[in-house]
Amino acid sequence: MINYLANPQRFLRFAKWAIPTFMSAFIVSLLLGLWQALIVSPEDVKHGHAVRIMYVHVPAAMMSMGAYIALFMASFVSFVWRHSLADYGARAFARLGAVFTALCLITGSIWGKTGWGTWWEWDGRMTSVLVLLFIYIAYLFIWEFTTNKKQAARFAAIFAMIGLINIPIIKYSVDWWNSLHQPATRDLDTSMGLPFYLMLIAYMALFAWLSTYQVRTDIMRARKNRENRKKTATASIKDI
Amino acid sequence: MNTLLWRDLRLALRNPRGWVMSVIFFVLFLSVMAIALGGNTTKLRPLAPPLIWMALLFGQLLTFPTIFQRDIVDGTYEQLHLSGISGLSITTSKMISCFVVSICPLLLAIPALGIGYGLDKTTLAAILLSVILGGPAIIAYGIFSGSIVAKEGNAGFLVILIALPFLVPVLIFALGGIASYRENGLWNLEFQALSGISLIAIAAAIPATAATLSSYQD
Repeated sequence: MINYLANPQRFLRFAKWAIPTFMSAFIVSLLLGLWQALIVSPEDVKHGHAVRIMYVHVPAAMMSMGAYIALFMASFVSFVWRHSLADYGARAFARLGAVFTALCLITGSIWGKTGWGTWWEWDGRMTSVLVLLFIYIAYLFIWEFTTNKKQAARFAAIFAMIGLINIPIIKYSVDWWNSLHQPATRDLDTSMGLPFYLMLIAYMALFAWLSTYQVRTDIMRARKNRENRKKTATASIKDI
Repeated sequence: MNTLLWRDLRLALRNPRGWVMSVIFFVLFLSVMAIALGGNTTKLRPLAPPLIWMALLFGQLLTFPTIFQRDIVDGTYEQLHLSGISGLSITTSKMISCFVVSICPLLLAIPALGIGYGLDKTTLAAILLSVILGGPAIIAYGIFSGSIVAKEGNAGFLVILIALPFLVPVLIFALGGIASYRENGLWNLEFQALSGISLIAIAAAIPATAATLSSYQD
């Protein structure tokens, strides 16, 4: 699969049908999920209506980690094979990961206000997600600051891999430091599980859609730059 | 490796801009903090460990961009690379020399500042221990971030962004260890974790730094 998509030409062909597919999957599952989450699913005994934030918050938290794993895999491919498509992918994943992480923090803070009565608490999980956001930002800034883009690709890939080693350490250290967050509950009732999984599918489809879109845009931009360069090279001594 | 280490040490000592800057920053930061907090020793005493650690981290962050800058810009690194010396030994010797040159002066400065903050012997010992145990991790991530920005002119901001998230656990366990030193002694849980983090940081940062450095040769 990865091997197949590594060719930009084939990737563009794949993107031609993948982008609308992911987009429609996103829209359908989002609408179904929101309908289920906001109207059909019952109130929670403990949280009341505020539990509905969970359907936005928990998938965002899962995607913030999932995006990092995708970023790590793309970085690994980029580090070993120096493939520019992997770099485009890694950058797209990092951008989306940063957005999901920020979304997770914002929705979590709203839920915290209703649940614990405070917008922000220096609790273990919240702090580790905040640090994850900083790692995403650092990754994106390495790309921005390094002038030589081939080197930036190496640096960013190495940074992402070092980051993967550090994320569990940061998580456990911060958990040990201070913990108030409720432990994640795995046994969701079907009335709550269905909207939750629908929302999770919606988030994943959104991630797939936007990252494919971004990679396609990057391929086209690189191609355009190449064409521009070709044009200037055609001037020859005969023209003068 | 040995020659490389002596070269790095000698160069670092003869070019005191880096390490003197971090020591002066350390002293200055803590003095200004003491002034800002009202100069009351009873108020300052509980705040001393976190303040000293903040001063340590930020002072070190100032020196990170300069670690590899010279070697990369004047071509020394390229020569070393061409003569077949592995990036791993270059990185390792850099790390040892950085530890000696930039952490050791602080070990002398901390007791002096401890007087100003009215610290007792136990706390002072705990702070010194935490710096010795956590220092390798700081230096490890420092040389890693330094190797990334070695060619960029003003990249202090990038160094902060790269290194600080990784240094969060170091900070947490160092301060936790200082707090529990009085009851649990030298080998308390937090100091164990801190040493573990230092070892992981060294193991991760040496190959990573060698890889970033070798990408300058592509």
